[in-house]
Amino acid sequence: MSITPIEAAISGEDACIYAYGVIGSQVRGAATERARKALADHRAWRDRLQSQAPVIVAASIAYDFPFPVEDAASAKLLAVLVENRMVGQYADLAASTAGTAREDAVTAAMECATRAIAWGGITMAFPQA
Amino acid sequence: MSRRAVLAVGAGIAGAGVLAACGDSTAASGPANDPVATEVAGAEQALIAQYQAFITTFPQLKVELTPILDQHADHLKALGVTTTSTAAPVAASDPRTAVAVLADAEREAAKARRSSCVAATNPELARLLALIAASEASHAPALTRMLAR
Repeated sequence: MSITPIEAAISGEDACIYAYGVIGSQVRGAATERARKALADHRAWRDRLQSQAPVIVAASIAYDFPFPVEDAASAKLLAVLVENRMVGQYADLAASTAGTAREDAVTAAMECATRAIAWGGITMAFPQA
Repeated sequence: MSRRAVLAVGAGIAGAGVLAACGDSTAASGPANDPVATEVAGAEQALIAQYQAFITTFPQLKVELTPILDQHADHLKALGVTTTSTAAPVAASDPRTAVAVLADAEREAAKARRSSCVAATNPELARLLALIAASEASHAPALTRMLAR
């Protein structure tokens, strides 16, 4: 059975929540607040999606990052990566939904792309990682 | 099943994959046949004209504005529709005002793309418009960052 776009988005949000735990532990100052806010936002979207999904989606216990995250610079790179990756998943969700659910998916995609810039990312015509 | 997941990274697929995917399917029921695509194409052309006007008036902005201008050209290309914009570019008294005008225009554009996305009947067009909305939402803070320097 293949994974549906909403299940993929919930799994993506779980990965973001896990990532922000690591990111938050590596950054200091204003970036700590930014990580805290991002973590809360991703949790809120995750809960909202889960309430609309037909099945409960389990989070993974741990995630392997594509590069070592052991300082503020690598933590910020990870934040850019997970945010841009989430944009693609929300775009997939937008394509498979309609009405308010689609509008929400686009809003979430816009927020993720905006956060990627705040973490030092560059703009892209079609944000994804 | 392993409960340890890998955060996969599809390297180098940004842009090219989306464009190819759309280019392959602009047949009978493709995104370009949706009237929403024509409307968005007109709005993208208006944005392109606005960036070009400011770059002409304030050449010192060229280096920083050109990447964003190019991204709007990519948006237009992906829509697969040629149309003409009726909106005339606005003027600005100085470069900082010009950048602020563009940041506002991008925020409005992102919201408009979201509405267009909801109105789109073709799922592929909806996916494309979601990505364009995200791109334009991200342009606003990138422009604001220019103002901070």
